Amino acid sequence: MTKLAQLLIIGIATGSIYGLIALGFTLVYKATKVFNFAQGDLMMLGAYMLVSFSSTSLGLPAWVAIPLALASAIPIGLAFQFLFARPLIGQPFLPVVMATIGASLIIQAVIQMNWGVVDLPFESTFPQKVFNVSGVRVSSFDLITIGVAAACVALFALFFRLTRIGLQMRAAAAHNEAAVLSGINIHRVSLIAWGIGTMLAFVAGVILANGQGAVTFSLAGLGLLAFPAVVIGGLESVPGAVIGGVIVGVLQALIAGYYDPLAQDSLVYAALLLMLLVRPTGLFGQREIQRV
Amino acid sequence: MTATAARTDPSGAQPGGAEPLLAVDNIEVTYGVSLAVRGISFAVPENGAVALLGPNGAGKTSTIRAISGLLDIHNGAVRDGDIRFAGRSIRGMRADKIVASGVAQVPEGRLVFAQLTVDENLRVGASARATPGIEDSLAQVYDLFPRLKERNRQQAGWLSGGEQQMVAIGRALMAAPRLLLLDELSLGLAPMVIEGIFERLGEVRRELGTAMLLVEQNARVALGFADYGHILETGQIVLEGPSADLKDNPMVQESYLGIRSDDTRIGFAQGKRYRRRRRWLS
Amino acid sequence: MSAGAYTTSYRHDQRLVRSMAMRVWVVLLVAVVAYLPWVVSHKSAFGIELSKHALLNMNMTQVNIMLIVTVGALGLNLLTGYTGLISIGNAGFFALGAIVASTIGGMKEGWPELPFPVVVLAAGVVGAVVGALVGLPSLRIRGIYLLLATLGLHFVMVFLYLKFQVKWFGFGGIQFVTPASLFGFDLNTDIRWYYFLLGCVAVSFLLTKNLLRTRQGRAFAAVRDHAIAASMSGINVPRMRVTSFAISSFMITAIGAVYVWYLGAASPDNFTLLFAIQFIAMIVIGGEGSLVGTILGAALWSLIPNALIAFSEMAGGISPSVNRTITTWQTQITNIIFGVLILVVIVFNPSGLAGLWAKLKRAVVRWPYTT
Repeated sequence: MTKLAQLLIIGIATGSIYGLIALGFTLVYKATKVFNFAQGDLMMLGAYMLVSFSSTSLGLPAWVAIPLALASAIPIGLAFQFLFARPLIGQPFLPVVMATIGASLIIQAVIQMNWGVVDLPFESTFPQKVFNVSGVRVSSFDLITIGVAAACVALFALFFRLTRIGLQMRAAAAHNEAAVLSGINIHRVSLIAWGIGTMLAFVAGVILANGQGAVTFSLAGLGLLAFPAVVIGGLESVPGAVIGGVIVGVLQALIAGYYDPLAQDSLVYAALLLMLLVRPTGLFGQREIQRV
Repeated sequence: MTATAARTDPSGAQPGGAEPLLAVDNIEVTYGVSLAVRGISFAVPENGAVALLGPNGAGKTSTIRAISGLLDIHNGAVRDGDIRFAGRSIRGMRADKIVASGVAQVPEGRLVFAQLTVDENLRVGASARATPGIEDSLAQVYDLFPRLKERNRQQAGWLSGGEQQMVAIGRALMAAPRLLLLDELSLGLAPMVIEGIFERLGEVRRELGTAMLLVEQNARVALGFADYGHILETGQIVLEGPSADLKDNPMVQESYLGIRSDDTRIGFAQGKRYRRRRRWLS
Repeated sequence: MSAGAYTTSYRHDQRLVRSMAMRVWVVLLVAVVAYLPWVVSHKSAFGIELSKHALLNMNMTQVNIMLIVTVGALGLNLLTGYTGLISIGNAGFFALGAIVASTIGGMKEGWPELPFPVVVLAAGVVGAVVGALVGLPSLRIRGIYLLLATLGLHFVMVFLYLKFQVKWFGFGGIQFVTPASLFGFDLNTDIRWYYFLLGCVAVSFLLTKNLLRTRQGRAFAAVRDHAIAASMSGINVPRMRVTSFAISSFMITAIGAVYVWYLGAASPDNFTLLFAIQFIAMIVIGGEGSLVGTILGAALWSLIPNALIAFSEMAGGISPSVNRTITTWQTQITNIIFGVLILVVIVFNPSGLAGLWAKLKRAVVRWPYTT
């Protein structure tokens, strides 16, 4: 029983991270209809940016480095939008995905060229306490992860539902043309969506950097797990993205704990295939009504 | 007085020769290589109501899109001519800026935001609004369409066609426009519903002083509402004049109003004589 | 005398080679392609010595791999360019091909050893079945789901391959020691492989072209262009998509089996997601929806890394640091070039290299009325 609880805690923690990446992806997809294949790579970029800001050469303390790394999400997200999304406005879906696949190639290559292919050790500055709750070991890292992720999601939900820009984003996501003719500045909506989406990816990257002890290129693989999260939760559902992420995390933990750690990724992808078989629109997705 | 077949003078200019609110001056609209609108001119005076009539594919929607700046979404462009609103050229202006200037569109097919509530749909309409008073406008819209007030927390996708049309009109009104563009309002609605909506539009025109440009396939309803009409066919204005004159024109009656003057059918060779006449005059 | 190459009947339109001019080109092409391996391996053409750089450092192995990759790209293009579906599963299907080839190709004591052509075809069939199964659910809804399904397929397939390899062959990879032999003729030199692979490319090209000339092919294009309209015209859209994916998977898995056999060994490193992504780069840059474009794209894939090295060696004379950067980061720079080319093509010339070539041809033919 304690093992189960243990695995659940770890699963929820890692799942929150996937949820953040998936949330950023879903936001961009809903608001701009761009399927950003490179979302996971943006997360990885965030982790590497933190390393740069904290590295011995810059020597910045964590409480400066982390906000700086997060702040860098904004220019990077805007640049991404400008280079990869904006020139493709109006193009049908297929070329846009391929462009983001191209973006993924470029970002991964640039990361390798700039930071090398060797693992970069990173000392986490998060408090390293471990609590014992009736036999279950809960690390402060897990708590921080879940807390930060929950806070981000809550903030985002409030923003999306209550603010004027949030309403404009939802309108743009519901019907792009009607949004334009209602006087919504689509370019601004797109920029804001990309900025927030990249920021969420960077938050995930910063957390992961602190959790792994080193920043490695394998983060790219972790980033891809946002896609099963999105499929399980529902492609266009904001709550679905987060919940899907948590489910993926929990699945991973359970598979690693009860079966084989090496199989954890593949079985998650098998779950993705299963979901597509049974309920392609995901747990929270809505069936789409296509206009002819 | 018979309706003129001229197409160069933007008619409907205000008495006293003041600049009309909207002046479309000899515009050409293209979609890639195909020409949808080949040089039309017309105007809408302050507080006026003008109708653009004509069959499918005549270029009416393209004209409306040109005015609202929505052509680029559909891969179209204004290739020639000018569009002036309140004295300023709005050709090529960005769509949201055009709304901010005071031109709002009620699009063909309603295009409501299905997943948003009625209330949210209306508020979105005020996105580009330059003037304060959003809550007042919202109250006005609910006054005009009490049905919307009843359903204001419902998702717009679940409303009936007529109710969605009200949402679309209300949304456009939330932008506090000086000119309202209405594209195929009557499409897909029952006659009684159409009547009701046009009554409301009359109210809007009277109380808010909003000018209106209607695009309609239903000529009878449109000519009943507007002061002036222009008939488009294949991208050109072929006939125009005050609504009363158009209604009396036998060609218009036959082709657009479904009225036959006597039991004999006007032969196809004779039909739409105004087009042939125009060719002689030009 | 006709003013251009016009067709006068459906039959004529369906012909592969439509005019005298085309016939001449085809003959030339065959001649060049037949002579090529001699040029590459002896580094001389008609007795004239060619420098390393003139050939961009190509050797026969690279040429052969390029041919193999071409077939994979043709399979992908059938799916993407013609049916409008995107798949990132190429590497996964290659891995599947490897599994089939090692199972029935006699790579292990006591296991069946079927002749090479049979193994390859069997791999194709298995691939088609897997493709149909995986594609089935996701194709009912929207094309985007196929991308996600093939992403899932990739990881599952590569994992299964790893398990398979480790269990039966150990960590060192699968060794393909049995020579590939075609009706008693052993493929044991690069030149022999070349002609065999050339045949594979030709067959794939013709099969695909044939497919597209038929009603089936036009149905594919209809589904790509407007799925809803296509379904209203009586086309069974989901069935078309599944068929297309099955045929595509057949080709890719079959050539995957050939691939590992040619390399002589298989390991998970041969089946990376990056590899699958590069197939997408090939068809985008070459021109989706164009078979000739696919061949160009695959050629580009092979040539760019080599061109990079050649460039770096030349630039090395002027600036050694450039040389060093390029040599250290050859793969990365190649990937950046691919990524940038994908973007450039999509934004500026969606019909890719093939489209560019077609435009050029048209401009020349119509001169001086070029636009």
